[in-house]
This record gives sequence, C-alpha cells and structure tokens, in this order.
Amino acid sequence: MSAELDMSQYVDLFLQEADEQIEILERETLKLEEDPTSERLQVIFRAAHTLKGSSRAMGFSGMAELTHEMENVLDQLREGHLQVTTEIADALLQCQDDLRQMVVSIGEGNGDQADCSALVAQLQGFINGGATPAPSAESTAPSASKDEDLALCPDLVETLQQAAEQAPIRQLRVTVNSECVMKFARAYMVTGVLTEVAELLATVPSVEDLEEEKFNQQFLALFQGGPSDEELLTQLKGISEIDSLVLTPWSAQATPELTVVANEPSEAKEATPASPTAPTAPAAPASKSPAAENNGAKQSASTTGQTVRVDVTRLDALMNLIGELVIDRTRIAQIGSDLGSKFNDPNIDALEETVSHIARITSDLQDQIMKARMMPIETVFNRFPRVVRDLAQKLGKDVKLELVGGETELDRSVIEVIGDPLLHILRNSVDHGLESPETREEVGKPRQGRVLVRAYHQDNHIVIEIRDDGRGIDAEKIRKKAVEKELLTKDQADRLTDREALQYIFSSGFSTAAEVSEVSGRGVGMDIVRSNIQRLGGLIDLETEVGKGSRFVLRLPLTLAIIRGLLTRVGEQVIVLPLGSVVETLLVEVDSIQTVNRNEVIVLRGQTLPLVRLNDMFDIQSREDSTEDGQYVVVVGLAERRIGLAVDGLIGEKEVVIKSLSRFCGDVPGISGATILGDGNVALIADVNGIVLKESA
Amino acid sequence: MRGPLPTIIYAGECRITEMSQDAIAGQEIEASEAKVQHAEDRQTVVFRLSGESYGIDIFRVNEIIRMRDITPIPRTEAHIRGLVNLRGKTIPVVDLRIRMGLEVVAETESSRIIVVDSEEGQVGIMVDAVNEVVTLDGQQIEPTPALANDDQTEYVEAVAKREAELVTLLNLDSALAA
Repeated sequence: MSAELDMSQYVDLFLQEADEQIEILERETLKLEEDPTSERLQVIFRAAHTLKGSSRAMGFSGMAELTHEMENVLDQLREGHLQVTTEIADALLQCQDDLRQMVVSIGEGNGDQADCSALVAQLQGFINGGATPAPSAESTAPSASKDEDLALCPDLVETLQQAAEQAPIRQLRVTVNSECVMKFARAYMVTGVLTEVAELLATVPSVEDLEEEKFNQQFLALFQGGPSDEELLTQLKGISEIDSLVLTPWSAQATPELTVVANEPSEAKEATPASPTAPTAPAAPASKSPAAENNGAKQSASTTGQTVRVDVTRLDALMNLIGELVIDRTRIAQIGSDLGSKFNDPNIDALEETVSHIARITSDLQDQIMKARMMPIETVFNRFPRVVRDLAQKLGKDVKLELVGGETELDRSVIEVIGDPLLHILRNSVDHGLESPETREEVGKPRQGRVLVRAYHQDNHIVIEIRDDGRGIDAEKIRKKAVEKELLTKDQADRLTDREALQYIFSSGFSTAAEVSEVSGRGVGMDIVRSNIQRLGGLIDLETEVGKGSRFVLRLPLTLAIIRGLLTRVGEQVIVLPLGSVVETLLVEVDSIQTVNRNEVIVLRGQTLPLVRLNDMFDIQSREDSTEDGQYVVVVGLAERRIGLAVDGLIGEKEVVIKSLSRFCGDVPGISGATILGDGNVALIADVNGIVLKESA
Repeated sequence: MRGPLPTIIYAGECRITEMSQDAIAGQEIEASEAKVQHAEDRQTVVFRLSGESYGIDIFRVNEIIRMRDITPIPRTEAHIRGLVNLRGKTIPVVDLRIRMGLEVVAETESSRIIVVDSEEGQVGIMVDAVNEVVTLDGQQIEPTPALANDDQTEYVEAVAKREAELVTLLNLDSALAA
C-alpha cells in the first residue's frame, strides 16, 4: 500500500546516475576556470544538488555531506560572494575524485567509505573566508506559505474537461517541506498512492518534471475516482516532509474553494461535505480516459529524449544473430544462383528477387544494429581535460587542450580499447612534446602550449589525430638512441630515412626523454600503444618537425565485428585478407620473381618488396596448375611497409563477420580469426599486420 | 538458450539403451572395496575410436553432429583438426586418436563429431561412430588398469565392464587440455 522504496534495488540506478552527475561536475568544473559564467555554475550546482539528494535518499551520508559542502561553496560562487580561484577549482576536482571513489566503493558493496573531513574543512574554509557572512541555501528558499501559480496548459484543460464528462475530477495541491532534500521522492510517493487508489490523470508540472525535481515546493495532481476525501487524506498524511495537502474538486472555469487540509495535526480539518465525488467515485476507475493518456504521452515525448538504456550484452547478442543472418543470406543467394544456372523456371527469378530484398533488409538491419552500438568518441575524450590539467600543473606547463570532433561515432568495441593508448600519446605530448613556458618564450612561441585532439571519419575508418606545437622529435636523436640501445648498428641507423628512424619510437625499451619522469617515459609506452592499435586492425603514424611540433595519426576501423575482406585462394583453402591492409593486387610473371639472400622478392615500380608465399607460411599444398599463367600477388601494407603475399587465386571482395579463433587453439601466428563463407564453410582471416611486421623486420 | 539436458541428434543407427538398475545388478553383484568410490550411476555416451569403445559423461555432451568440412588451422598442434561451422559459430575439432596415439582410420558414413563443453568453450571431438547412451552402475566401473599404451593413461579415468566389452571412460578435461 505505502509507496515504500526498497533501496537495494535502486543502487544500480543510483550508481549510474552518480557516474553521470560526476562526469558533468568534472567537465563543467574544468571549463569553469576559463569561463566562469553563472549558467555554468548553475549546471555544476544542479549536478551537486542532484547527487546530494540521491545520496541522502540512499542513505550514503558521507557522500551527502560532501556534496552538501560543495553545494554551499557553489552557491557562494553563484551569488558572486566568492570568486573562482585555482584553489577552489582544485578542491572541487578533489571532491569529484573522492565522489568517484565513493561510487566505486558503493558499487563494491562497501558503502561510501572515504575520509573527506579535510576536504569538507577546506570547503568550509572557503566560505568562512568569503567576503560576506553566508546566506545559506536554506534562507534563500522561498517561503512555503503562499500558493505557487501552477497553471494548466490549455491542451491539458481541454483533455481534462473531456475526462470530467465521464467522472468528476479532483485536484490535490501538495506543498513539500522546504527542508526536504528529496522532493522528487515525496512527489513520487504521493503520485504512487494516487495511482494506486485512484486514477491519476495528470500532474502540474508533469510527472517527468517532478521526477527531475523541476518544481519548487508545490505541485498539483489531478485524478478521478478513488476513496473519499477523508480517506485519501489520511493515507497521504502518512508521507513525511509534506507541509500541506489541499484537496478540491476540479473544474475548468475557476479554482474552486478549498476543500482542506494541512498536515499539521492541530489544524487537521476534515473535508467539507461538498463534492458529488464520493458517491460516483468507486465506479470511476474503470473508465479510462484515452484523451488524457495521449496527452500524457505527448508531454513525455517533448520533455525527455526518447532513449532506452540497453545492456551491451544484448546488443552483442543481437549483433551475433545478425552475423548469422548475413551468412545465411549469402548462402541463400548462392543457392539461388546455382539453381538459376541449372533450371529455367520463373520461380527462380522470384526467388532471386526475394533474396535481393532480404539482402537489402538484412544490410539495413545490420546498419541499424551497428549504429546502436556506436558511441561518440566523446566518452573517451571526456577523460582528457582532467588528465592534461593535472599533468600541466605538475610539470609547471601551460597547456591548452582542444578537443575536436567528439561527436564522431565508432563502435563500442573500439571505444573500449582506444582510451588508454590515446591517453598515453596525450601524456607523451604534454610531457615530452611541449616545452616549459620559459623555453617557449625563448624560442618565440606563445607561453601556452597547444595540444589538439581531433577525430573524424574517413572512408570506412575513423582517424584520430593528436597534434602538439612542441619541440618535435629529432630523427637524429632517435638514430643515436637506437644505436645506444643496440636496436641498430651505427651503419644501419645512418641508412634510415628520417621517417623510418621515427618508427623506432614504437620499439620496446625506447624513450627519448633525457630523464625518466613519473608521467611517461619508462620506455614501455609507445610499443604497447602500437601493438594495441595494430591488434585493432589500425595504423599509427607519426609526423614531426623539429621545433614546430609532432602529429600522431591513428587510423582505426569503425567496428571490429564486420570487415570487408579480399577472399583469396591458397591451395584448396580460402584465406581472407582484410581489405584495409590491401594496397593492390598483381599478376606477375613467374620469371620476374627474384631472390635476394634466398628470400624471394618482387620489384614493383622500382621498389623491392619481400614476397611471402601464403601456402608455405600456412603449410598448404598448392594446386599444380596455379603458376601456369603467372603468380597472383596481393600487395599489403602497414604504415610505410609493403610486402607481397603470393596466393593461388583471387576470389573477390566480401563483407565478412569476424569470429575469433577459439581460445582452445591458442594464438596462431599469422591468423587473426575466422569467418563463415556463403557456402557454410569456415575460412581463416590472415593477420596481415602481424605478417607484415614479421616479414619486413 | 539451451536447456539443462543436452540435445542429442542421433543418426538412424544409434539407439539408447537405458538399462534398469535391476538388470545391471543381476549381472554383477560382487562389490569390492575398491569399487566403492565409483559407486554412482553414470549416464555415458559410448563411441568408437579406432575399433575400441570409449565413454564420456552425458552431461558434458552438447550435441552430436554429422561429419562436415573441417577447415584446417595451420601451425597448430596435430590433434587440432580445424574449425567447423556449427550454426554460425566456429568451433575447433580435435582428433583424440592422434592425441592418444591410436591408428587414424578413414572417415565413414558413421563418423560423427561430438560437441562438448570445455574450459575453453565448445569443442568438437571426431569419433568413428556413436554407439549408444548407457547407464553404468558404479559396480561396473573399475579404476584404470595399467595400460600398455602409455599415451592413453593420462586421459583415462576408469574402465567399465559391459557384457562382453570394455568401455574406457575418458577424463575429458585432461584429454582436451593443451
């Protein structure tokens, strides 16, 4: 009967909300220093306030206390009694760290354990040190005595009028206690009771607004049917933190006389006899008012974005099913064309038509699911400002971070793994790339260093660019270092082009920073970054100009689930080469294959490419006739490196669904996965990046 | 997705022999101390490998499928025969004959792949034929005798005597372990 909230089932929801609010806090606080507008303060204040409300409701008092103090400080800032200083921003960010920790600890079931007394004291210090004696949040709250003007919009009045023809409508004006921290919960309880015993038609403001606490202290609930006034009021009086409940019959013309009641026991008067409601009431709940419901739906559409939270595992399962569908679609198409070549029957034409329709639908379906799995890269970018800010402060640098293209979407499988590599490059740029403000001034650059992170789509890829205007990377230094680290001989190093030399920063055990700092430069970074990116089927490239800055360019596939592949024949087997790595295909004369140091090579437009025979590599018997009319070679590339892969034949280009090799098989060199072809057979996908790296090293 | 009991797809020639407890009790009554530790009934899938009978616990079996094209995976151990398409999933298939040093006989109409759950996901086991599902009484099961073929010993859990034949009960986990 009572709308009691079972807290445990709300923990997940709470944590999710807390994460979102903390993210907002952090994002906006970081912008605050540069741009302390009152709107921004308002946003931060609201986030802190929401957190306070929900943490208090969940009984996490430590969190509530901390957010309360944040709120006080923010209120002072908002009122202009305090100015935004670095100390305050630092303290606020520290609060967010502590809040994050609490959220983690709550998520692990340990409650909001964290000692933030020092932080609380610091926050209180800001206020006490502030110019004016604090007019606390409570005192600014409007007094509850006067009725707020809660007007019904004309649409609502109209629908209510229609509904009133069926059964009389009553109106309940609820005043929530001004000290109440969880007004939405009280409102929820009131509407909960009304929905249970009567038919709730509408609230002013709307239910959604109530849930988001978009109301002051009063709200109206309009309902039909239900028990008598007295009975209803008795039930509602059980809800705490409600100052008064006023029940009146509703009519469109005017706000009628009060029917009563304040929650103060002394004043508790009973409802005036009045109202024809009582007798007709019990019958009413049966008669639903579609108009009112429609109206409700319309309202919700306009107030909240139409989104649903979906568990990612469900999306993954859907994606798998689509994968199977794609396979079957290809299979049916193949059977259709096989039949078409054997028989001449109008039904076969119809079949082909249907197949092509199915093909269109499945590919639309695939697109839609892919889109549903897409997330803006913003979710990764959002971590950056904080990291850069802290880093810059620690290193005594002045850094302006620009993030462009945060709305660029890519598959969540890629999002999940791309964060750390990007962060690493970013750290390197700030730590090693940018000079100290003094050095910058000396060389005639602005004191403030610039780091730009930009994401955009290109073909079927996403490109992420990290650019700084720092000192750049000296290829000569890299050569020296590579020789020092015995990765190269002096002779080899000298023969490298600058561009080739630069690739050595991606080797393990390589760090050009003169001294190893805490931030980066333990020499275990860039090689891991590169191998992570290559595992995703991506490329990383580096351009740099000494004195001007460096630019890292990452090229990543939009998804890891489906790729376009070039189907090749090796012996009797089909091997898929990811099209992203394929540069070109050739048919070369067998005689033109030369050997250097007993390794086969081909010469293509003056460039010598190592030739790798896939059938040797994979121990597959070649068909005897395969070299009769020349050798098929697929030139594949990774960054600057190119090698030729000799195959027995080219089959065509196809979209394939990637299946991982079973863990049972372990890591198989040269193979990155498997896929199912249109004929139902399994084909292997070659790990072209891995092969190129190994063969061209 | 899948119910608690395994789905078994039988080819025509297979039959299920559910032996009642009484029937089995009639055959072998002498219970020795050594047998007590095995004293529970087990439903066992019995299959043929190179002319011998082997058994695995029915609860490990997901399904039994007909032989189909296997795509070899290069540079893997010899007993991993390759990948097959199981309704849109790719699963690896192992050949226990190679693993246990048995003679590999050619595929026939009765060759099957038994799909089992392993720690590394689903795995198919190539067998020459699937005979039947039997309920083995604890009293029929004896600990492993010393086998002539050492390659086998580590994969064998116990031996069951059934009428005229011996069924080698495999320890699936060690047979499939890397």
